[in-house]
Amino acid sequence: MEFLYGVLAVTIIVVFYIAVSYQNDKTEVPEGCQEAYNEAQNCSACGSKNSCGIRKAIIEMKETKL
Amino acid sequence: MEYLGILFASLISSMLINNVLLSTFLGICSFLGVSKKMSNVWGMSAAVIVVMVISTAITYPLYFYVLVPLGIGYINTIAFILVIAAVVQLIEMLLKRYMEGLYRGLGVYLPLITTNCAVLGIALSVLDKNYAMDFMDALVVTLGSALGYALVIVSFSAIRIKLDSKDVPKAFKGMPIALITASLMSLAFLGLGGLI
Repeated sequence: MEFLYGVLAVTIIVVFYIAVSYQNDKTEVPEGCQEAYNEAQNCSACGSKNSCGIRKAIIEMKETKL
Repeated sequence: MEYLGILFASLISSMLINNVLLSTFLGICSFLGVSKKMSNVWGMSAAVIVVMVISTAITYPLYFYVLVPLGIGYINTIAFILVIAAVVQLIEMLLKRYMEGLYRGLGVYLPLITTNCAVLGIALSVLDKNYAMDFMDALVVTLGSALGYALVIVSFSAIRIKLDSKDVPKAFKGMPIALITASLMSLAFLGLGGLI
């Protein structure tokens, strides 16, 4: 029973995350903030530039030719 | 009154003695990546403070009032990662839609915080009763940790900006001198160990 509760809890949180993430992706960055947004994403701590997001990092890895 | 004293001690301790960056080494990637410009550092610090406090305010009750009573406390790490990621996305979306000014100053740094291990690390640490005794103490410890993050990253950025105009040997330019500076700051913060 505990295992089912665990699966259910994770499923609920995953669905919530996907829904919020989808809505956030659909919401455009306000025009006046675009420059500030691009500057803020200019983090040089790791190889993944412009975002900490996994999806963008994978796209960038595919585009990068070693 | 005694309780307030304990909360104050928790705040100072988590900010200076158990500093999230220099003592527990969490959140190092944003610490090194964003500290080149002072303007970025203020926005990042504000975003970290907001996200850390909101995350703990959600994850602490979630653990003690939902996961533990259901006997599934062991999934806390997975649950917290997802909850923090969702909370960050939710805050970003709300700022984008309704508070453009606040989004420009703080919201633009939110995508960098989604995967910030300091947020997850503090959310998990405060579950330990030796670390935070109740919900209020957990929030104070979290606030102290976030303020400690801000204090250190602002100081570090100021030093890096000064170093840019100095004649640093070629082999040490850039990240090497930044890491040496961070290690010296860490040693300096060790000296605060006897404060409380």
